[in-house]
Amino acid sequence: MKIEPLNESSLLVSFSDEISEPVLDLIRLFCQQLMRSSVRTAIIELVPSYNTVMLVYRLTQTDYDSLHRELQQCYQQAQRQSKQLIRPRVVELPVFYSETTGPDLARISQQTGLSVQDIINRHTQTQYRVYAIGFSPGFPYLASVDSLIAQPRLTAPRKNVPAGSVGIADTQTGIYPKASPGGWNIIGNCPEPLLDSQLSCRLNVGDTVQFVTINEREFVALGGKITVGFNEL
Amino acid sequence: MSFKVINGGLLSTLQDLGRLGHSHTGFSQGGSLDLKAACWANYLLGNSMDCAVIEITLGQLSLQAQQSTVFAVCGANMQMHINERPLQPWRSAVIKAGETLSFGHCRQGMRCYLSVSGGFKLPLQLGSVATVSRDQLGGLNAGAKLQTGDVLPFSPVNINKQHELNQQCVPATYYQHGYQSTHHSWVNLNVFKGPQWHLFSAKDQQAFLQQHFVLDQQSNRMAAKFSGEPLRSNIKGIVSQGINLGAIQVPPNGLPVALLNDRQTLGGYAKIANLTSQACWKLAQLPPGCHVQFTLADLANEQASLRQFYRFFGINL
Repeated sequence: MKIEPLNESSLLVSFSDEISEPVLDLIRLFCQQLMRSSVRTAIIELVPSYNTVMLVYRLTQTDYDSLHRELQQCYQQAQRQSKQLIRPRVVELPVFYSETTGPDLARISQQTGLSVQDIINRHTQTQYRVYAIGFSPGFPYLASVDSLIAQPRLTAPRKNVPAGSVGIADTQTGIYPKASPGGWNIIGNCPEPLLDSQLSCRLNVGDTVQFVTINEREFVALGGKITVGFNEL
Repeated sequence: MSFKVINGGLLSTLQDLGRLGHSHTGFSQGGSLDLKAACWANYLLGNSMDCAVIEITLGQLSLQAQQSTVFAVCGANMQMHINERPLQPWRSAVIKAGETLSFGHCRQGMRCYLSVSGGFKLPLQLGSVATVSRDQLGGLNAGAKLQTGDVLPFSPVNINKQHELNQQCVPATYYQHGYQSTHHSWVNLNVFKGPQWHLFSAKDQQAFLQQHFVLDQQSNRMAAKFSGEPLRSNIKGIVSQGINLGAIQVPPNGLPVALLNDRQTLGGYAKIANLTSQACWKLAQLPPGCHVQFTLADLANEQASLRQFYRFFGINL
């Protein structure tokens, strides 16, 4: 683990160079320890992502050296805890995979030689971990996608991807919580909102996500909307 | 009690200290770009520092007071008037019911901050009124800038003779250096080494610190872009990590980009440096075309200075 200052009141904690579930679990435990420690009231932002944690602190309440000591203790505690089996929370998310909600399914099928059903099966058979949340509010970065259906980002991003769209970018998959521009390959739509009316986020870094296939009737019943021809938007 | 917006100007937004504590779920920080000027505007009125202010970019805003109140404007000089009476920034003033406060063109700096006695009364979203258009959050209407017809409510204030006679002002020594005309010279911006500083070659590090970069027209509340001799770094993307206020990324075109208040929360470009907080505020006032040079700063000195700033204004940051 390495700790380095970014500016007067923020620092970056870097874990291993690799991206792996053990590193993710260590980061999750480290953040939990930190939020239970005496310095928690001095923390303004705590942003975990893959193999780093960025921390912004209250300069009027603490200083870099005391925080540094506390972070090392939390790291040691997290390391001890990581030796025990920890089961992350599993969140099931329904997805309507179809040509209408997933305009890139047909192309992925052509490029990979896999049937559309096979692509859907491979996408739902994997349990994903949330490695980061960002880019836009509530957008989860999930990994890792079955290498046979991994696809590079679109060369030209779409101007408007509908809310709920489920996409693939390389070995990552994710969900657009709100309509926004985007360059991921869209294969389906999740009708359940990722941000609630209070704007709190349904997923946390470290959670496990299990996608579950639903049909059009169930999709509409859950509040899903089909955007006709969004490929052309 | 309110101001009515007669003309929203080029870009006038409601801001405060920012939407803090929500980066981990992807919400941008937002908040006043020149925190120093925004704090002085609240300070002159005895407001709490978390009161919302209007950040006026490049002027043209005009507001009609529906009731009398006391307000303050700090930051860029934008040829302000109450009806026909000219007004200087860095001071408080009384505006009477029916009078119009208008901002002309920007003469020095880029942004000024308008506070009203007791603060604007607006609903909070995730604890803040900060207008962030990319998140469609804050302000009066889902992240939109001020528009004709908008109504900005404020608290009633008892205006006495003292208010009219003793208008508060900020001593010039506190602000004059930061708001000079900078068209014909270069400005120094203090930085710390970024988390990927060591991935850049010694030549790139030197080129970054020695050359004058030019602030690009494309700059906005999200990022300040610079043009100049590109750094030749062959660094591919890094694993996405949290992006701090003032982080200076070097994308594949080799030209530095400083990320400001409305930045995205995560990013995968290498960061060669990070602006000091005061350098971020200074940058917020620089016009496009301005020449800048980045200079390494001492962490302990900058921390002491920022801590002093927060304590002076009573900010719990």
